[in-house]
Amino acid sequence: MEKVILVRYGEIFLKGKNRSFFVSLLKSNMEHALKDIPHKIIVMQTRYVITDFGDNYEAIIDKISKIFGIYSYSPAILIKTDIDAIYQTACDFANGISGTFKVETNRADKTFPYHSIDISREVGGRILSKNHNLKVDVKKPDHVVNIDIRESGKTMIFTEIIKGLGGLPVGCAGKGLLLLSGGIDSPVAGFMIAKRGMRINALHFHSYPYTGILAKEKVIKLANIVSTYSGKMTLHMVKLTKIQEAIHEKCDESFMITLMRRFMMRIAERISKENDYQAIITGESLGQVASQTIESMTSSNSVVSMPVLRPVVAFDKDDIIAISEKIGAFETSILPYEDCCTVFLPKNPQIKPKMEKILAEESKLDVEGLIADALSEVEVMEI
Amino acid sequence: MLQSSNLNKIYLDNASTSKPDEQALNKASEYYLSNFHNPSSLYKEGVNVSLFLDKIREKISSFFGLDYEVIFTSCGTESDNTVLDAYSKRGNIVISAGEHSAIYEKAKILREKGCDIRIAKLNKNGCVNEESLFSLVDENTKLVSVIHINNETGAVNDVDGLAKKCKEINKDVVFHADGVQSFLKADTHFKYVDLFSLSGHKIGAIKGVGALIKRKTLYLAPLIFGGGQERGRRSGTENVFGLADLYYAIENKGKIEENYIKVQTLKNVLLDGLSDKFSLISDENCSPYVVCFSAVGLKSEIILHLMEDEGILIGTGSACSKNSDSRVLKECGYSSDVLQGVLRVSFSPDNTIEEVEQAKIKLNACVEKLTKIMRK
Repeated sequence: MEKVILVRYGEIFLKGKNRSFFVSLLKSNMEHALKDIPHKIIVMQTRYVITDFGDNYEAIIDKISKIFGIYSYSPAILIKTDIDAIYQTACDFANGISGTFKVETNRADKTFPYHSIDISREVGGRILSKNHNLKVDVKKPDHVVNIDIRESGKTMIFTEIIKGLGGLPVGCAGKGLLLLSGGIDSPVAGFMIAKRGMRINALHFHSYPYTGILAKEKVIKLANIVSTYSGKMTLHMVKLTKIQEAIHEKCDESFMITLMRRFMMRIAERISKENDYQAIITGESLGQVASQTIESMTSSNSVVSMPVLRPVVAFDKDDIIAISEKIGAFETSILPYEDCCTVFLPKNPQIKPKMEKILAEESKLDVEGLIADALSEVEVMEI
Repeated sequence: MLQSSNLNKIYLDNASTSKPDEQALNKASEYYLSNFHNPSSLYKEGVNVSLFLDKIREKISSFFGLDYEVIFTSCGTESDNTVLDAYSKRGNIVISAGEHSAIYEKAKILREKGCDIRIAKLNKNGCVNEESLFSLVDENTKLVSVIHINNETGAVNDVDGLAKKCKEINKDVVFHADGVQSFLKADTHFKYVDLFSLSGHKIGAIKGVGALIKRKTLYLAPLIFGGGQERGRRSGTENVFGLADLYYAIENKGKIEENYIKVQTLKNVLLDGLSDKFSLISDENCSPYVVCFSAVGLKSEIILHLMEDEGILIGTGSACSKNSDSRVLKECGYSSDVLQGVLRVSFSPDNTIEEVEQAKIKLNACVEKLTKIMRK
């Protein structure tokens, strides 16, 4: 008798011929997440079974609850297939429950000489005779005692089915570059895109010495939080200071944010091309602040040819905060350190910047020189 | 993640913490390696450690006079908290608005619990306004606590004079001075001050060691209970290594007058030719160890980082209240433009004139550069 964890994948099951790719990718993501915990992962049809983890049950559950592509999981007992052992273990499971229940048996091993329905009936009867507070309800039971008799000569028994994060295994949908500020929205955007299977890397712009060392450390913490879901990532950190100083010195200050966003996008695209990233991901939400109007997005989109993904574009702030809290980023996101957008904040930023005016302001700057200068000292960190 | 090579940097943030006295640290290590025994143990080795602790007590007491005794604590904050806690049961407590958070925040908590806390106003340089202080002391006042040298401005409160006058109003008043910035940096031979907090890491010892100096005749309820160390006044096995380090640091840094003259010269060097873009907050009555000024209209943290890039470490107000405008300076009546630009240079006698000259040149250059960038 051994305690195991049954892990089911959901959507990837539907992916036809690519299924084996998804299954092995998810397994390798699980292996990566569990690399510091002793364990074994056995691949079965439509599921994995994690075994040999000793006393590390809680640690394993914590990890797999953060892996995309897992539909649900169940703590289970694995026994050698034997009718008495099945009866005994299933009855033991029922000791901890109250209310209504039913027993469901799945007999994949057709050589086992008892029919599913007979096993369910017998186990149900035994449970009832020992637990007078339980009632059978086959339509809407509070609990289902599942008995899964596998071909391998092993049987798994479980009651609880815990919902996983869903989504697709990270790595099945290419690589992207997340523009990670110190705020609430961008970690959520990264989380959401990673959920659709994209491997996330991050780019942070800072304005040292106008922003402090702690602000940068905060971003590193946020990258670590996102990476608990999205797996390992590369964090690129670019100093935007000289660009901001140049805009401040030479341009109409109301265009500061508009122009800065265009520089950010250009730099993001250069870094992406160098690293084979296929998309830029931002935490922009339509109309949330002046720089996130459709005109501003048009302006920043127009300097890049890569796709720009904005997963929270249609989300209310409250909804973004709810996800931020769920993924454990909120507490860090609200730490009060200045980010690079607030340093040279104009009093009246352009809300609906006109393209010809943007271009006129931008023409006052040595765009290529400034970009080359910023790219000459990129800090790179593996998370 | 936060890495910096400190070896070649000019360190002018001594009010936040001091560089460790290397000789003291080595002597303390040597002592501790062969005297690791518990001072409460009854065998010879334990007794020897206990005798050494008495020697440290004597050394510290010598800066206060025969009427005082020493209770070892873990830090200045613990000493401050112990005092406030001991007098919070009845009557009222008077503090100044210029207190360090170790007093101020504790007082706020006590107020929430129903204790009558009275807060005296400040003068422009950070000193307590005497009129305001005396007006708050009455027949029910149990404790008055005033910081000796303000950690942000260097303002010196004549704590013994204040204690005398408070006791004229109410002879039973107990007077506490937070001396974390003044121990070994000002004369501490008091007549009327009853309690005094000090901290080791401000004078070359390691962090995690402090003391509460107490008038011998005064009873003080303990904050920490347990094994009855410090004659029951502060339980917990003594930090022998830290105290040994403190002892040797005092041996090296204990020449108060000589050091004062040296540091006064450093302050003069800094102020002579400092850009007029800086507005001085510390005045001539402040301790030379702390010089506070503001780059009005600019953000102090930017200057701090620009200086850091030049290899010079300075402070922005109190290291214990980062990310917000200084409560104390706000209380002094400064506007937000001044508060945002507040910088603090604080000296140690080990700093050199050359270091301060260099810092001044860089400060002037930084403020010029930043003013130019920000002005348009």
